[in-house]
Amino acid sequence: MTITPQHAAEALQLVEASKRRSIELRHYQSTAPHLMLWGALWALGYVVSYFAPAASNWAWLAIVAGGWSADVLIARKDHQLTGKRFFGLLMTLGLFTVSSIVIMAPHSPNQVAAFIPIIVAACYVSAGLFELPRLLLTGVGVFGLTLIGYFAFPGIFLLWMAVVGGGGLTLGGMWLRQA
Amino acid sequence: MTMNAPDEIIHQTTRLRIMATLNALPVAEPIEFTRLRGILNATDGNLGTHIGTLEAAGYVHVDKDFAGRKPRTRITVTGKGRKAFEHHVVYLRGLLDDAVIPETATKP
Repeated sequence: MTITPQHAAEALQLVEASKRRSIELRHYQSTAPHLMLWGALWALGYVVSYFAPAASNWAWLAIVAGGWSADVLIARKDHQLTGKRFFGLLMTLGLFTVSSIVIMAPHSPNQVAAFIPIIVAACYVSAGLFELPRLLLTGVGVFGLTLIGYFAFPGIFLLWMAVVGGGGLTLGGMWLRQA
Repeated sequence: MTMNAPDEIIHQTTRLRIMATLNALPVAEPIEFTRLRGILNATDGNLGTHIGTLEAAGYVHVDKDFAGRKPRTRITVTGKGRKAFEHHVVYLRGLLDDAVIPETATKP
């Protein structure tokens, strides 16, 4: 079997392209269940916040605790980051978000309700910049829809986030899974 | 096989793509046949034949079971397969070391 340098170069290009595609799809498969999970949880949380604002804080506390636990379980089952590292990542994001809210002291529920999705969207966009275009577009979508709802529909913003934010994440997760 | 020889089993285009795809996954992580077929844009028959060749060489392991009621075929690259693939890639790179390649062949 004789392989010319030209042929070797083409074969290596093929290897590189296949490797990139494999890694890209692996990331999509890993991320999809998290997005679908949080899409459902956002929808639930924002509906509670809209219809029962007095129960909102406790509801979100339960949702975040339950969501993070499910995230860690999914990550471990899917051989993603080790449990400890993934938990550390969630804690870092959580502490950053809570600290930012405490320091900025928002004066309306809509501000908090918009801030967290924007952080999440920024994470997806950042990850998407590493050759994961579907994740990038999902992040841009969540970011844009959050801003539209915040400025255009302040009276129903929480409901907007339940339907459009939660729905957007769920659809994004399904889109990733189908890649 | 030595480092100075190409791996004739792996070098065939579809098998090279199969091995590159599998090698990019974490160790011992399988990929479903249907998913691999989608990634490679191959037909069932074509992909099945090439996987059979790789399995016969000991480069992949094929596991058939049921997910619920649906039959499922999953493919995992073996340790021997990873080594053979890496050796083949090293061999290909070695060919380029002293060669001048037209620019179009190396652009992604």
